[in-house]
Amino acid sequence: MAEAASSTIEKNNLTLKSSYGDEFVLEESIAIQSVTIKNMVEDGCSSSVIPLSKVDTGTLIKVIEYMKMHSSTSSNEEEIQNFDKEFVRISIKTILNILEAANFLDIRSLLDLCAEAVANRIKNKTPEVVRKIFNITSDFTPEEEAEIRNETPWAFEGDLDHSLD
Amino acid sequence: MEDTRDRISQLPEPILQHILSFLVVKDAARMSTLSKIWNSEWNSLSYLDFGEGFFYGPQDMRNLLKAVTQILVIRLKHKIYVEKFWLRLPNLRRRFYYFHKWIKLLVASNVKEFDLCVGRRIYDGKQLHNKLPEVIFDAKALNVLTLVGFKIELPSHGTVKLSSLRELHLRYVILDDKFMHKLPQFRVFIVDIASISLEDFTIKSNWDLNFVNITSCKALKSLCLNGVAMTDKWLKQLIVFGCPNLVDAQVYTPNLILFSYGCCSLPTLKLKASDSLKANISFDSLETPGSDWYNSTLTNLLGSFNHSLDIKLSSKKDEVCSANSLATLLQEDSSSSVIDFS
Repeated sequence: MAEAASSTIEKNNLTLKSSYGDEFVLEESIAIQSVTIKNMVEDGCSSSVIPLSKVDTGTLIKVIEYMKMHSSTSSNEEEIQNFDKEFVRISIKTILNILEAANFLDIRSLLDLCAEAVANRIKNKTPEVVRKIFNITSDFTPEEEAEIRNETPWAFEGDLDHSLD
Repeated sequence: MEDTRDRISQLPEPILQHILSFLVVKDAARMSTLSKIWNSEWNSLSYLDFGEGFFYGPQDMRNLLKAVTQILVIRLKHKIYVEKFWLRLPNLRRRFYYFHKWIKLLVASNVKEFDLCVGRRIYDGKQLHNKLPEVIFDAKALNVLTLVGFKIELPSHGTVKLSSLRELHLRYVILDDKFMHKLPQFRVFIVDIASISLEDFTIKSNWDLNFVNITSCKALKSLCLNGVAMTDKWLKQLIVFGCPNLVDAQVYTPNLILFSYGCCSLPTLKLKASDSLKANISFDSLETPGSDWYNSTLTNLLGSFNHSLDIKLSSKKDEVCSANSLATLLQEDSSSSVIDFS
């Protein structure tokens, strides 16, 4: 009977393992904000550790921090909004890491938050600056690029932002 | 070492579309020059939010109007279904020609969310509303329709095919009452109307409606929401503001939990709502306390809320009625009512 009781308690916790092998114990009710994890739990794959081979330790810590905040019943809407705002005040590289993890783990609200944060780094910027921020190399010839630019000349008019931040 | 990989372009196509969906069209279009991937993402972008400023910059208006048409033609050619179209257009000549063309292209591209605000011309001291192209009524895939500044008339053939419509937002519109009578055929969840011409607003059952907002309907005389509680989604919020001519309101909505009313006068009200109804009533009456008006209209009105949870009554005149007499009025039947004065 004692064994049965302990397995009931364990059932409420899940262990997530990052690509570096670090393990994190998390309440099941928090972890199932990830549809991927929820499906694994429902399919009965959660008895042991859940390996997340695509998510590194630093990213997993951030994702868990996000899921904990968003499942907390003690925080109100305003606190969550402020949390989200601060949460994406990080390097674009880290945002892309979290975005990929949110896509893999299927956490819709986190995916939205990161996609919007990426979009905010593009807003009103010149194409040259966007290239630098995201390391995008052109595969156009200068003539091709000029031609494409000519298709939407109105998009390049007005005051555009040349700063990298 | 600095990571110099281009990671964003490696993301799956739906994610790139998702990122671009947070940008206005002007920002998204600039991405086309970055690389072949981004050029293709721009040309297949299905969220077309032109933003507040698209037509309000220094650019040549004709070129911008043509640009909108061109964007829609490309989407249709590549069979891209338009998820969202959001545009603010100033008052200009020959505008009907353009938005007729756009709506036609959008209907062909199965537009799901359509939001168009067009400036009204002033002629001879009167505001002229824009005629709405009939072709919009053929938009079978349309979920959310928002129109600002239009005159809406039922199409000549009388059929409205908006079978997927879930939300209807109409502001500063002249509305044909016949159009409103066509609507109950559909399962609309949200109705949000500001129309200076609407006189009679009636909804009878069969709607999974859960939010009604009626504001600035200056001609509205009769409001009737009559529903059977078929699902738990039934009307929960009813908001009526700025309808000075409303004389009769009948609301049979057993699941209603919020009723807000703010007009200068009070209508005759028949109300059936949930026991947990919260009501906010504000009015601006010139009547003096103790008059016949108090004995009839106000008493009748408050009688409707005998079973309600929370009532907040406010008026611009602070001497409307003493808290005690109101409490007596209300508490004959109920002990749960709360009255606030502001």
